[in-house]
Amino acid sequence: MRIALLVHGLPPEHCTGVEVHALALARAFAGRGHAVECFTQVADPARPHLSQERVVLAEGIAVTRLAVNVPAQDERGRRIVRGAAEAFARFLDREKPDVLHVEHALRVGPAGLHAARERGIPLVVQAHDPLAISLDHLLLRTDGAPLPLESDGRPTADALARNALGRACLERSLATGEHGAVVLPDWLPARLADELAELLDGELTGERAAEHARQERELAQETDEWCGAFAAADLFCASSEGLGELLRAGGVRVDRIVPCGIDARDLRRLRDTRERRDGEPLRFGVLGGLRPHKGAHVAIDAFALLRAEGVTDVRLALRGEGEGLETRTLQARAADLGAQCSGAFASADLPRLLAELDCLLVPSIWPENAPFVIREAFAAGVPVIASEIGPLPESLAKGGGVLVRAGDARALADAMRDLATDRERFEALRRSIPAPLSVEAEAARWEALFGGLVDRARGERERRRSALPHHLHDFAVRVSALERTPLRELVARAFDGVDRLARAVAPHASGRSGAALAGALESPDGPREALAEAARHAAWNASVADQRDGEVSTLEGALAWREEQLREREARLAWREEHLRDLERERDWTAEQLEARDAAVRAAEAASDEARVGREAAEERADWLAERVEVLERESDWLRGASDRLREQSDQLRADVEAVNADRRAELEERDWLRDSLADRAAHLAEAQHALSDLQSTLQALEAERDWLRASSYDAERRAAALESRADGLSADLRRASSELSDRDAHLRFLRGELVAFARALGADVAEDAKLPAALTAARSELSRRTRELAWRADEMAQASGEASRGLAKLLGAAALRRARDWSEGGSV
Amino acid sequence: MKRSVSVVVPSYDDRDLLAAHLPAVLAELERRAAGDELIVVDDGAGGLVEWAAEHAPGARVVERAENGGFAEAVASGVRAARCELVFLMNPDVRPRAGFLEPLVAALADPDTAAAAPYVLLGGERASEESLSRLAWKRGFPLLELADHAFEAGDAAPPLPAAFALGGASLWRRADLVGEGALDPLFVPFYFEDVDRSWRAWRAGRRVVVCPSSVVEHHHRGTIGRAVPRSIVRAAIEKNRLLFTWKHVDDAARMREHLDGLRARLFAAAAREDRESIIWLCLALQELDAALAARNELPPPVAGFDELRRASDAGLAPLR
Repeated sequence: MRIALLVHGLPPEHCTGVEVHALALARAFAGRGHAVECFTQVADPARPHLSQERVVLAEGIAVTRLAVNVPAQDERGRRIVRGAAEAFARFLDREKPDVLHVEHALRVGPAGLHAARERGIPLVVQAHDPLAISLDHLLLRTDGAPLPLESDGRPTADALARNALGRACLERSLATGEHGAVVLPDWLPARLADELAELLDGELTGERAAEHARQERELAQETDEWCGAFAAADLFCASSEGLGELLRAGGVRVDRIVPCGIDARDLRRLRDTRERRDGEPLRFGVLGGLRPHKGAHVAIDAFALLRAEGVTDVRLALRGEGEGLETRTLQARAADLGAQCSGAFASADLPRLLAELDCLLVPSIWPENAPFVIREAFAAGVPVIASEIGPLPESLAKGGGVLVRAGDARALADAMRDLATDRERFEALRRSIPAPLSVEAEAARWEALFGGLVDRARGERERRRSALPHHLHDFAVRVSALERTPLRELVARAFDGVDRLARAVAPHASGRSGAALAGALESPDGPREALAEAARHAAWNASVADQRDGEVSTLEGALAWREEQLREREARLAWREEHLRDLERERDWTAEQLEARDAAVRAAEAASDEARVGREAAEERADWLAERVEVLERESDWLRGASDRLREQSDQLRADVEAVNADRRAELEERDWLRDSLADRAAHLAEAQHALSDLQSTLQALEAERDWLRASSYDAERRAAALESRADGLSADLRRASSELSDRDAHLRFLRGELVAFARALGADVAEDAKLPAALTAARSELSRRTRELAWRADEMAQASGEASRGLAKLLGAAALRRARDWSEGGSV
Repeated sequence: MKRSVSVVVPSYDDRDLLAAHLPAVLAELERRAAGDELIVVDDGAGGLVEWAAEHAPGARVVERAENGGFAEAVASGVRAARCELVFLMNPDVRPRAGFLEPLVAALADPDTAAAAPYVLLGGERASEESLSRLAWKRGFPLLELADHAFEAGDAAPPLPAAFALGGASLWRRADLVGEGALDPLFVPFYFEDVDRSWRAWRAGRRVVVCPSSVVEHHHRGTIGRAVPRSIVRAAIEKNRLLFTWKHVDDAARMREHLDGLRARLFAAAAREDRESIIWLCLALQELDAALAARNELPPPVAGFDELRRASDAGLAPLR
């Protein structure tokens, strides 16, 4: 079977779940003996926009990569690249697959799917997300809140349009990156958060209202296009029961549920060799996009709660791609908390990253389908804590994981702590991990489904053939077989056949290698088309010149021939006129003979049978001659007319020859000019391509610079806000200092008055308006003098006091002596 | 004594066309009173005997058990023909009065292999497909109309043509059976008449168009009605190539053809023009048969270009 597989990206350039799965599925198909042709897109500035390049991978899978180098210009351009569907249709025409399996139709869009149907190629769609019911397949608003759904299970047109406005607003203001579909308002500058809230919930007026109406209209049209394309699929499948229910609720016809398998060969070894790590911290991790809808921020919040609570036997690692504000914010918070954080990883690194984990976190806040990373973790023996949202619980239905409320950091933290502290429970959870479906088993299931569709298509072809007349059946079978053969194989066969023909009919003619030419056509792309176009132009110019040459020689030949014909016809005319005269003479002679015979008959008065027969014969001969004369007269008339017309044509031809000669001269000049022009254009084209290459490099540099400037601008805004806040503080400080200064001035004035009063009280002669230093000096001087006087008087007083004391002591001594004497003598005083 | 003619009409489920055009044929045969006959070949569709008995009494129906296509149906009809001269006629052709006499007169010349009438497309005076010439352009033979100075019904003498349309032309029965029959190389259809005519030219005979004999071609033939356009085109283009490989025996012309073929193939591959490449592949699938047919041809009386000139009414000398 020839299987075409459509997906928006493939490793190594794109490594998210669907893209890795697409490659694994292609390998599984090839492993089962099918020819697989993948069609995908890649940004490759080295190639022209929308050019195609076909490469054959080691496993025998052919991949045609469409170069998409022009960024999305509008909301529709986020999903559909203009011109991609036409390129995909050419791919289908070249490869003529028996069936088209669509992993994702992003970039190619609905027209690509219709192209397959129009070509009678059975179309199988495997839905991995709710795109069939919502152009915002995350079912989230730009601020992370759930997208409101109508009763038909689909988001409102208003919500979709507002989301588009919100995204445009964020992209104008921030470097949110390609997938910046959701940014939490807390992470935004206040002004931007307010603007986003207004767009998502506020009343829209003026230009915003007009833009909203336009978005509603365009998104409704695009929704119809996608729905029409999905409805046209021969088989529309969902990759989980939950997604199937979500889509059916939105009115989508889901024919089958076909779960995805994984290529677990490298991961199974991890599961077998994984050992208990009792006593070691439990290592949790988020693998995948570091974006808000994937809930990495919830994991960080939960980790922060555990840190705050003093739980130390837990580690957190965040690994995955991301860009823009949301990722930078997550990275900064992770770094603050001591969590490991690293960027995008190749699919080859997945076994190593899973080996470094004990438990995977899938804290998504969008109704995620069936993340491949859960199956990969299971294959590697890693249990999972996941959000209970949308179809996600289905992935853990058979064990191996714990569910927590989506967006609830507290619940996630509790679950992490429970497993970290109860290792037996953790081990039991690990033992309950189910074996994931292998991609080989999935491929076998698809094979059976494809087989039915291919048989149906074959039956349809046979039915159409049977309507043909019987003798055409074999021929129609041959045509049909060639119509379903890949173009490059047809070309190779044709060149080989022409070489065979050449050997048979012109063995000495120089042969050209068809195989080499066919090889040159292996990878059709833009430059080759341009080359072919230029060759066609050159061939056209040459053919015009040849045609003119041919016309001139033909006209000259025709002129000569006409003149010769004219002469011949004139001679024939003369001959016929002469013949006519002979015939007239013969007629006259015959008439005379007839009359003579009549006379003889009348004279004989006895008609014999022989004579009667003779007469009848003569009459018949006379009639024939008369008829012949009439025919010849008609031919002579026609010839005379033809001669006249030929003469006129000859004159006209002479004039034409002159005109054509003049044209020819002009054409030759024009041909020379065209050749020169072609050479100039080739040179210009080379220069233009060179310039384009430079411009693309410059554009990349400018885009990088723009991103840097956006980031710088955001930092500058933050610094400005901090500076404003600091300026406000300083202003308050200044006001407070001014007020304090005024208070101090008043206090100073009071102190000065006090000082003057004090100085005066001291007797200093201080004027009311005396300068304070002078008054102070005077007061100090007076104070010094008074102090000295006081000291002197104190000394005097001390001296006087001493003398008085001594006198008093003497008196007291004498009195005491006297009293003692009296007591001793009288016993009483 | 007038020479009688068998008119052979191959048919596949064309009763509407037969009903529209057979009466004119029958009327003309009756007028001639020369012992002519009308044979309708039922090419596998069935039921034509009863239909003819009711709608075209006087026509003889030859039934084929299985649908075999134009060449097979013609062969069946010719085998059943009783006259020496056979007029092949498609069901969508309506003859005008007196169409047979000039053709019969032209075949009085033993060197004339076939005589074709002047064919008005859709009965319109401005549109015709009579006087064919074999042009050569960029390595490929091309059938096109030759210039002429006459109009339909003119009493102009017969003019040489590259081929006589299989859908309206008078032949000798002997040239349509046995060795001279239509070549099965050109199955399923188209180019059998071109091939048969060109073999006549190669053998030193001629094919002519008689301007005074007029038929109308109401282009709604069985093929176009029952077969998708892509199949019809594929058959034409395949057979155009097979005709070239069978008949172009001039070394220089064949080299031109091979160069042209490669250039055309390269351009088709560059344009991703699958259809052109399929036509070539279809022809190449029959390359061995074409080469065998080429080798079986007797040597021609003149070279390819010389025969082209001789069969071109615009270039051939007047006889």
